[in-house]
Amino acid sequence: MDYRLPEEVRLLRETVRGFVRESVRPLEGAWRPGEGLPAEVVASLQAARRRLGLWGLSAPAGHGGAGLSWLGQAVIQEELQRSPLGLWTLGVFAAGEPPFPMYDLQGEARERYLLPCLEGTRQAHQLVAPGGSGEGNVAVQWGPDGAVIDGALRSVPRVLTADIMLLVVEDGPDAWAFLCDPDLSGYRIGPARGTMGSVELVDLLWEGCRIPRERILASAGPAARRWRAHQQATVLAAGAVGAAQRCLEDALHHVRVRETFGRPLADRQAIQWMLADSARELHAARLLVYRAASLADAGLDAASAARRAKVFATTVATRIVDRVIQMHGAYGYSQDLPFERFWRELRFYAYAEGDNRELLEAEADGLVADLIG
Amino acid sequence: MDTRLPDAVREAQARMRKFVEEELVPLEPSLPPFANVLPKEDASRLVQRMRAEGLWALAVPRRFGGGGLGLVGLCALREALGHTTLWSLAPLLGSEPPILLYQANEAQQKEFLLPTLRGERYGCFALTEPGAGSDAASLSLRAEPDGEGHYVLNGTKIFISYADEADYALVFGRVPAQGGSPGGITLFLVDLDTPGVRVVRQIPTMGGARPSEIVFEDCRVPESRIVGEVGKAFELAQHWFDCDRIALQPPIALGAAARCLSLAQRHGVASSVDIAQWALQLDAAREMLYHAAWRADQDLEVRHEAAMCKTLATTTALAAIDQVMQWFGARGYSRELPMERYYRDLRRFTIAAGTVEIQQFIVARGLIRGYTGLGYEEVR
Ligand SMILES: Cc1cc2nc3c(=O)[nH]c(=O)nc-3n(C[C@H](O)[C@H](O)[C@H](O)COP(=O)(O)OP(=O)(O)OC[C@H]3O[C@@H](n4cnc5c(N)ncnc54)[C@H](O)[C@@H]3O)c2cc1C
Repeated sequence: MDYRLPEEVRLLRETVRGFVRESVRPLEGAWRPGEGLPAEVVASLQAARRRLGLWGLSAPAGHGGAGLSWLGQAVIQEELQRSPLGLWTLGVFAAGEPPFPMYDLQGEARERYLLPCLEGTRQAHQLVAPGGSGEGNVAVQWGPDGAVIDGALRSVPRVLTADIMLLVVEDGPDAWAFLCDPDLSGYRIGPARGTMGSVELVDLLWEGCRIPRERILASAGPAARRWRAHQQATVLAAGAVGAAQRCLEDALHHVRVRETFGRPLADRQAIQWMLADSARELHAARLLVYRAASLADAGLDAASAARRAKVFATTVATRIVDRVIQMHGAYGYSQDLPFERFWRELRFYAYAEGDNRELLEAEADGLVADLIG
Repeated sequence: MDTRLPDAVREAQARMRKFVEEELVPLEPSLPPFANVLPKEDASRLVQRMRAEGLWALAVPRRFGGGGLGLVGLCALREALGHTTLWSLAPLLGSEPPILLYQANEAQQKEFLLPTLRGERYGCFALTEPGAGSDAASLSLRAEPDGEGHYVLNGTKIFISYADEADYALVFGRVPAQGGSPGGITLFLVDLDTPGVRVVRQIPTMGGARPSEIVFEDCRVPESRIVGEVGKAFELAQHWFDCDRIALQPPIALGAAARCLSLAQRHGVASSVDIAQWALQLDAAREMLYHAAWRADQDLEVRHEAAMCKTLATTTALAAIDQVMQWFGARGYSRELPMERYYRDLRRFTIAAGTVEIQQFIVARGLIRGYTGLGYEEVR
């Protein structure tokens, strides 16, 4: 048992914290509500990331990546998402991090998809769907030189710069992954619909869509599940923790300087309660993130721990940010301060990479079994 | 980083669980609803079995002859104990060493600590007074030096658990400033058969607990019974309070709530999402518990961690048990199922050993004063 952060992770945290403070936060004003981030801002942030070596973090050793532990990646996301610009939905920080199944690509497909994704010129997003027919399913028919797929996935979140969909179709414990490039005939991406946050929703349609064999990965199940756990724990849950931490720190500053009726807000018990509730929830969330990450780093199955961390952290983060808005009064609600944006963006995390209720459902037996020992 | 319990702790916890299921759970229906002690013959048989199975004093440091599993170990054992409603009847089962006495001097350890660890003596802890609960530092029990090597204690302590069974008490008293000495709140080890000490009544409660009121009237206690220094009782006891906040109530609360939730699951009285919702809160509380205990075992500051852990574990467990009772309807309210007994006993957890409101205050004050460790693992 040991809860210490390894020295290299601590150092990395300092580096990223400095980067966010000096290079990211000054750009927050450039992101206008209701608009995407200007392309030059995205480009400059990505360039800065590369310079710092914060690129290819999730790449397995041997793929030119940093070979970083999940714990290290979680801590980095915690720091990055202290700025609303760090939110993964922007794709700024998702570039250079292709989903795990793509590392199994060979030959031409590898050149065409994996390498550009690692390079950052293209970006892929993994989607998981059950096999079979009917709404929300994807039917696969095998032919001599590939597969024909039919189906529709509605209201799929689109990471803004992701142009490749890695469609993982599950069939029991097995799964195939299909690389869906917009060049495929019979594959249609519906018009983007806006949301309360920066993510957009699209409908994806496959109608007799032929996918050549070299763009299909067999036995993609384990890698796809690991990627999902990775996203849940080290990106969404860890990011939610970082965002909530930033907001709570801002609130702590505010309640010490803002006075009403001749005394600082910090003297008021109603305020103190909100602070204590937030700190407690945040602490628990962080522990669940670190648990999931350290289990994965120990080579154990972290799927369950990742789901739990994701549900818990994303739930408490919006609650914490909501309290922070309350403690700032009208300023908190206004777009002069970043909290309303944090709230809107974080709200999406409750259904990104698995709706929280569905994830809970999947965890029910395991949770009770673990608790009763 | 490794957040998993050490193998030795897991193994001890499993053995304790087995003991609980085999020996304690079967006794549950035979005890009256407000029972607060085990029948004598059961108690001595159970103690014997615990010793025989190597479950005795597992968490006690090795230098005192224990198993050395630390606070992490103590929490794990108590979590297992929480799986029976008899947990509160089992203080004699050696899982609750008075950690504070680890800091007593050698003579005091010989006289009080070691016999307690052997199960021959039993202590209670007397801080609360009719006029001083949460604000314990305002206590008024006077302890005046008589100039002949004794202190004379006068005052009343109230809500003192197990005072009726104990044979000594750790008493917090106020020594007046005198001459050059500033006096202050001081900790005394007092034999309960000392003349001038009277346990005047037991106070019935909602649960099995029957804490006592103790009156001190010209009770003379030798100077050698002062633990630590005059005026330094709180400095000495703070770490103990924190460790207690971690290890006494939260693990019991978690074990109890886990049992109730698993009953709900087995009987299918709630949807799996509803059950998982609660279970996830308990899972988080449990992470917090073992993290705080681990910190304490590393001799790190745990003030804030203890406060957060106590609040989360006790309030969540109580609410979960109440929810399970509700899911079961009338049967949940009945004595056929363990919820009602658990609820009545655990209800005191948010009051005793520091109310949850005071824990909130501790956490908020830490934050406002800029305690940066909060929520971060800044251990080197
Ligand atoms: C079953 C049981 C066993 C016990 N065993 C022991 C024992 O063995 N030894 C011992 O010394 N004591 C024992 N106690 C006493 C216990 O420690 C006290 O009850 C506790 O410290 C609270 O004090 P109080 O009851 O006087 O409540 P008070 O301090 O009067 O508080 C009343 C209410 O006001 C709230 N409150 C107080 N101050 C504040 C504040 N600043 N801000 C907001 N809210 C506040 C409290 O949280 C509480 O809700 C026991 C109590 C019980 C119920």
